Amino acid sequence: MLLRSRTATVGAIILVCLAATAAFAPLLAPHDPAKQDLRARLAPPMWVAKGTPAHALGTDQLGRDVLSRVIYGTRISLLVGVSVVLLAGTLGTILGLLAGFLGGKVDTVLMRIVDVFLAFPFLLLAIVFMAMLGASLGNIILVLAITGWVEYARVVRAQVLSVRELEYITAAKALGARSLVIMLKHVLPNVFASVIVIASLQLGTVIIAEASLTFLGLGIPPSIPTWGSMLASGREYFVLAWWLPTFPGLAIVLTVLAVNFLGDWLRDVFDPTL
Amino acid sequence: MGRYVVRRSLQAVFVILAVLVVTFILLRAIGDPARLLVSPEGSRENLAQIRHALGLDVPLHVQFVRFIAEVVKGDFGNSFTFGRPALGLVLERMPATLLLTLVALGLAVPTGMFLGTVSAVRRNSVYDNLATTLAVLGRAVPNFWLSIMLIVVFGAYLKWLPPSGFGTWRHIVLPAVALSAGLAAMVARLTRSSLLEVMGHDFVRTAKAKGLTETRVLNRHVMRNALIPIATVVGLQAGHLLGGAIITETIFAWPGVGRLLTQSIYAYDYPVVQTSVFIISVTFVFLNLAIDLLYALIDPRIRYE
Repeated sequence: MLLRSRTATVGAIILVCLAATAAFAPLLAPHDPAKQDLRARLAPPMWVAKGTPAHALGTDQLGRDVLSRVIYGTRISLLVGVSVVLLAGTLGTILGLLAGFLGGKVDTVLMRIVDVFLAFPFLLLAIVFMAMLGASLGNIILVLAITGWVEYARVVRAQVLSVRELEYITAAKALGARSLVIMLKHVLPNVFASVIVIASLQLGTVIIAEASLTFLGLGIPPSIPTWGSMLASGREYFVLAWWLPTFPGLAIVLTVLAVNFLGDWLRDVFDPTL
Repeated sequence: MGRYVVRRSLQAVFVILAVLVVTFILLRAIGDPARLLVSPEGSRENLAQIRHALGLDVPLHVQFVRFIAEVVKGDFGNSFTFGRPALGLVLERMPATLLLTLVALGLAVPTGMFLGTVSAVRRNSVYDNLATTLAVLGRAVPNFWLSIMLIVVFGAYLKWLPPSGFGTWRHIVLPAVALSAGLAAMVARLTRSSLLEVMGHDFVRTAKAKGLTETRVLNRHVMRNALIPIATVVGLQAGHLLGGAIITETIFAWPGVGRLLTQSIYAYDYPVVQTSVFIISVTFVFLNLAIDLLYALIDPRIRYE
């Protein structure tokens, strides 16, 4: 089914390659991403005059190998993206189930909280949270998850409201099933398709948000090689050395493209209404 | 409709209150601004004195009540770094931000609609593929990276436009293009799918059957109906441009609220951070409110209980 869509196939292949790159980064990277070599600083990519095959994508202002840093950056982007989507998806789904199934006060309170979250531009909220917590890998995952669960909760709640009126739920109730069992065994599987679709569409947004916050100095500490920090650290040298901003940026674009291709396909297959 | 307006406005007020609480609580945890203001040789007494002067030595809930009482009077406190009222500082920067977001909006909507229309009318042609590719790329390219590349290419290498700053119309081109790209891509995609959907309806076939020209069918019958989903998304996204503007302004040294916000975060300048967050959120809330209400006017089929 996947193979029928050309873009989705391409997206899936790219993602598998990226996951492999992340997993085997130490084997693939030609150099230690943190190793400085001031004699080789600002070397251009190998196909440009004065470039060397030792540094295929050139070096930065401290002589660190750009290719190795881009390879290691894959780890952080995928780690943050997947963790955030898992956390936000779980939290949002649970809250959406609770709001939809229990109704009443729980529903009112949760939905007012959702309204408040939606009242902030997403990026503003993330910036403020990060400013408060400080830059770290754990914090960025936490903050993006806290700001990202809302969409799941809204969609799951709306679906629960329609599912719970269906006859098989009434039947389950009549058979004396407890609420928890009904929610987990009968309602959850029905809303799962939408959750998967939202998750796949959110992944790209999260990867971009992480890079943006790291770029602002509010994401991942500069000591860890990430695409966002590569774009932040060499700013004064960008005009001299075009390869410094180009490659980490292309890596982000490629990843987000692949994720979006797959996400659009999942949406078309599972839930065209989203 | 009247009841809906009242209920929706009350909701907006509630949300703004919540925004105040959230920003207040969050920003107390950023760090201790008194430490930044006292000189390294300063004594413990100096620190206590500054804390007292800033009102940071009383319990949080007392600080909050004071804060709300002052906000009601329009007093957000003085900026720690500039020593001037924070509200004035933020409001001074507001026109620059509004100018940037409006120009970006003005670029994004026509560009997106044009690309989307060409795509839909010449479906599966070279134009369609090109426009669709652009739209897909626009969604995957991060705003801040596009900004950097525009500065490097057009500001530094080609020297066509100033790489940063504020003043003439030439300064606004690069930041506005960077900010508008994502929205333009979204509008293009939506225009295409919306037009294609409307084109499949019976009334379009009828219009064609009675001998109207292709252009007339498109303008009078298809476009009007396709506009509704486009208007909704543009409305919702217009607010998000404010969020994107924070990053764009910081990169292009554009003197708006977004740049003031990031600078104040780095400087632990609570009052200015609070005020910027508050003003941006209030603008966002009212924008969404206005759009919801306008929406009911544009599309008479929408009824509110």
